Amino acid sequence: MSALALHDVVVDYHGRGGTVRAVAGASLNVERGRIVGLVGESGCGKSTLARAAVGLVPTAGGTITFEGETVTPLTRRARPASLVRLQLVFQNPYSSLNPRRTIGSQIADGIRGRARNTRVRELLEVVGLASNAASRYPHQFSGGQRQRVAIARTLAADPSVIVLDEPLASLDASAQAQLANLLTSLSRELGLGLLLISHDLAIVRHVADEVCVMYLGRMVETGGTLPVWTQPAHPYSEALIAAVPRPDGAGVLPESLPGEVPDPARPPSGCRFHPRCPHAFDRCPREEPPLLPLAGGRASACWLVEQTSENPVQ
Amino acid sequence: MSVLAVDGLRVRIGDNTIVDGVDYEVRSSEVFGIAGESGSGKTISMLALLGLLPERSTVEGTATFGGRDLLAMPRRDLRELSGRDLAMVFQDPFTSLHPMLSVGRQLTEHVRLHLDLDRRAAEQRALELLADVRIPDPAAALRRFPHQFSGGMRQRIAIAIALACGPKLLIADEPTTALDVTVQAGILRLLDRLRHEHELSVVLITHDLGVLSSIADTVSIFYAGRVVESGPRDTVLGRPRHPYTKALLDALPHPEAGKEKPLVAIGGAPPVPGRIPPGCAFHPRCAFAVEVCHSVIPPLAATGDRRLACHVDPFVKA
Repeated sequence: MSALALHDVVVDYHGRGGTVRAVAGASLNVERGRIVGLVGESGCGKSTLARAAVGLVPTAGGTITFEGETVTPLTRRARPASLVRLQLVFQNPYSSLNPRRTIGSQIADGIRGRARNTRVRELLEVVGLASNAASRYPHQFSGGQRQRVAIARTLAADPSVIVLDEPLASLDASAQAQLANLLTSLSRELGLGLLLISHDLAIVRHVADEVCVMYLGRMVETGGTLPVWTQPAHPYSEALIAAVPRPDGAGVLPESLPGEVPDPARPPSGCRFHPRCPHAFDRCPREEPPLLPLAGGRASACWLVEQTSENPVQ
Repeated sequence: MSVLAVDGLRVRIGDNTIVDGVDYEVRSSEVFGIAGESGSGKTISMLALLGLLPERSTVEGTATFGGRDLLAMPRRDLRELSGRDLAMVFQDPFTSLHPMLSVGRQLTEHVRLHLDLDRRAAEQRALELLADVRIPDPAAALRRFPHQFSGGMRQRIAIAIALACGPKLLIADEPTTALDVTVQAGILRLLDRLRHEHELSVVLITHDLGVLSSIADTVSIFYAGRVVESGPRDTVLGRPRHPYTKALLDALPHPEAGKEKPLVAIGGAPPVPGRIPPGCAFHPRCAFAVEVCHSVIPPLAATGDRRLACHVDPFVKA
């Protein structure tokens, strides 16, 4: 059984302009000790799905379970005790920490029982900060260090799964590398399941065991990171990967994907990617391809892949 | 032919030296890339040229652009020049565009002021510009407002405004940092096309070595307000020789990396202005530092195919 299981989740936002379906039936599983990367362009619904996964936004359909218990949306009451071991790290460590309290006391909030100070020092050490950091305030740390404080604070709750929403954005390369290494060691050494939401494909490629590619509210491809990266089985994954600039000094411009993510309030007919897809043919605007399993535990939602059985697109 | 020549640029804000003696030259139609971590002085060195520094700043050195020194120019002349011959694009197009003026108004106001066009001619020019940066349906776009566009489209509009008066030099500070990779690729291709079509030189400031790698002709690596390595793109990024350049590249996940090996992060943190280490500013984080690095600042000296500021030069044969 997966620690965190999302099945066919639907999330609607209701606004003055009507209802927008930000997530239109998406599934994913996070096992303990595994890192799952969730990638896609802005507006594809990945952050909404992350928030739904921890109960921050209500769902309009599907099921979310954490360690066998249903994840219920946050209300005015305290979050159910069974969900304490499911934690979230936000993108911006500047706004997610209280500027007027020491980081030690903010980390201690999540610790139950005695010997809090000892545990705070242990946690700071786990995330690679000096134990005397506990008495300092958030502004005394760099962005990368603050993000580690945020991670230490989630670790205080002794979680089994942490959802991280763009934790590496806005950090310098070296700070990114340190944090990426920390995430890998958390999953390997503490057996944590991590759901890593990121638009930075190179870093996801490096740390994630599995990757889910999302487009306009739906999963278009899932599978092991290496096979998806080397032989993408959906034209959208292929385009995302080709757009990543290589830091090799070769002077090759990355491939651009024409068009933009369409308005989720008016998704295209059939395959949602067809207006931007270089391989689209007459069936694509008419029928929506389901996410079908392929060999090697992979899955793809593309008519071309189904037609050519299990061969990835060229 | 050089479009911009910066010589001995030194910027102090209050008591802190932010930029400490920077020289470079930008040639015609060239993309000149500046990379470095946050706080390395890469943005401040550009703001100095444009007269946009905060109060209490002092600037030394020269910056020759079109035969005149930008740093010694009266404020009025500099303002006349920037926006016409010298244009800028910033990281966040949402804050650099006026939220309450239509795109058409922002484009035409600009060309009418600098090029002295009448309303109809200015609108015609605005339509051409929007088409040039590939905004779909330019006529409709003129009547819309910035919030009605996506981040990528807003950045295209900001580029259209920057190009409005046919500048010779475009300074782009992290122009793609806030964008998705797919959109980023589109903006990089746009800049690459524009610089060839309009004989435009571009100074591109970014922390993303992948971006520099794909579009820059020449790159300069900044550390603590100084240039540590500079030269042709393929030389500096393909065969780095400064330990800092090498470390920056090693910290990046390589898309084709075979095994799951940990990324090599640079130990420590970049120095804070006011507390720059003596000698080579990188020495406390450098694995190759020797005694001389602690006390003597290495000069940026020409060595073969590049300029390098390192006493040790450990990768000379690599």
